[in-house]
Amino acid sequence: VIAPSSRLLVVEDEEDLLEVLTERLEWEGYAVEPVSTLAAARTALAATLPRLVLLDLMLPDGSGLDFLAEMRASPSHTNTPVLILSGMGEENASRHGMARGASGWLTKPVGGEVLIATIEKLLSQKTVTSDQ
Amino acid sequence: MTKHRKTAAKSASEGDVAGESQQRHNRVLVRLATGSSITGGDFDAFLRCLTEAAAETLEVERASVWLFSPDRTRLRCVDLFERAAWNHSQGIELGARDYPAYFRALETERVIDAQDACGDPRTAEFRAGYLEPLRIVSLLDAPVRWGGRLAGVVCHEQVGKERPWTSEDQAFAGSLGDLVSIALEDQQRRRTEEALREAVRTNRDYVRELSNANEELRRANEQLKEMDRLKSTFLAAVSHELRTPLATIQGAVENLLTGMTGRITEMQLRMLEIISRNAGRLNRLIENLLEFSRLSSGRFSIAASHIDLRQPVRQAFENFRTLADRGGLKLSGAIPEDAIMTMADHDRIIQIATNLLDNAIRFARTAAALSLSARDGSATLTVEDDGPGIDAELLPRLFQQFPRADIRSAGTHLGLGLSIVKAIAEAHGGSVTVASPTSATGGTRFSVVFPIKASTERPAS
Repeated sequence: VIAPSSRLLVVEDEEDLLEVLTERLEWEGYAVEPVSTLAAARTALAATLPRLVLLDLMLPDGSGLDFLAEMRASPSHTNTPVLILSGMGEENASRHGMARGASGWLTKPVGGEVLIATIEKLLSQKTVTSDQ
Repeated sequence: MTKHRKTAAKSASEGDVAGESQQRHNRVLVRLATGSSITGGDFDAFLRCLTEAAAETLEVERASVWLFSPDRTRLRCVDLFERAAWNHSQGIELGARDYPAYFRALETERVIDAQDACGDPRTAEFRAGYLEPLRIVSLLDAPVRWGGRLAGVVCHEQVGKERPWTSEDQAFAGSLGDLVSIALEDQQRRRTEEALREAVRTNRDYVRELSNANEELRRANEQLKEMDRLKSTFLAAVSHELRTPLATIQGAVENLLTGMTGRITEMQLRMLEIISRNAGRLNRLIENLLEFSRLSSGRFSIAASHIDLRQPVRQAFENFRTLADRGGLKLSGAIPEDAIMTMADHDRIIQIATNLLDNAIRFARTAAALSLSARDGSATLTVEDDGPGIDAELLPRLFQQFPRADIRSAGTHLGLGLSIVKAIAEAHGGSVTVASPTSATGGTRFSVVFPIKASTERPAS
């Protein structure tokens, strides 16, 4: 059994952006686990159940979409909200990500307020879903 | 040939000359008419057969075939057979006008049977120049008619002793003339067929060349398309690549502006706002480049859903309000209280409003205004500014995809952004218009009209 965590797992290979995102989210009051590879993300997932995963798509050791598919195939992470943050536009979102289980999609660059609002929305939906 | 002569001699001795010679003549004619050379395509070979057979059969020294030159002024010997020497020759020519009586006779008679060629009024014209030098005494000439007129003549020339021509001889000579006509006809038919075949060949070559040219064009076109596709792909890839560093810059500036790093001074704030504002503009440029690559590659499409039009317009407006405030511009917005529900692409509506506001704020002197309204089944988004206005001559080209050099003074971004506004508006079934100047001092007003469309989505369960 994987222990539930209060943390957000942030997967982003651009170290600068990872730092900016982490600083902002922590400042907003979230606990953040920043990782820059899929390997590190898998390790983190094996240990804990994050509240939400913020996921970049193009990563040095693979595609975020494959990682998403793995999560959805694992009983532990089927319902974990996954918010994709990608340089790829919205037309790809419906074609790939959403169909394969992404909870939301933001295209870079995204304003901090929009990011926080989207995360809040997904977390509240998750709560509702769990209650049901 | 020797055998023929013996047979003739034998027949004569039995006293049945006419019947026997006619049969012999007929056999020769049948042989000539059914031989392969008459329709075998070798006209000259046929003529050689014919003159030999004629000389042998009628036992004359010379037999020849003459044909008119194309302009009919000359008669040319196409084959002359001399029996004693067993020799064929060609090429002698006679001027047609020099022998009027002879040609008149050829036109009207089946054969010219001149036993006394030098005395016969039809052939006497040849006496000095032809008959006497060659010691020709009797002539039996049959016209060759072809194509409805005289085409030539078959001549039998008796050398040495004068000779009377029997009716069988005359019939035989006339038939030889007919055979030459047939051979001429066949030759003509072959020439026509060959010309046709050549025409078909030429045509086929032409078709092949055309088809080759077509194939080359198609290939060139494919290459162009491929290059265009590569260009679009490249544009899209570059734009995507630009997004991440841009997101990082914007995120870092935002982090500073939140105050999470501590208090920032007024000066620091202004500098951060400049960074933020320009990162925002860079982002809009990237969006337009992406949209442009979609437009130019034909991958442009909208994803319409049933939305409240006010929402994306308000979102775009809010993005610019702080920007305008900081630049000292007055930006006003008039958005109605009632929802405007229609089928539209949320992000593309933001893009339209963003592009129009971006222009308005850059060109405005003191104020810019946005308004959204709905009436009579259509919604209108208007964005105007009090800038210098747009030159009348530029107006018709304002929405062209590629900005012209002369619009560059107003910023290349203008052309690109407006062409995208137009494409999005039209994809929604709407249109965009521009009015400028709107006052004595200038001013520009862009209006985008969208038809309000009822939901085509199934009601949410």
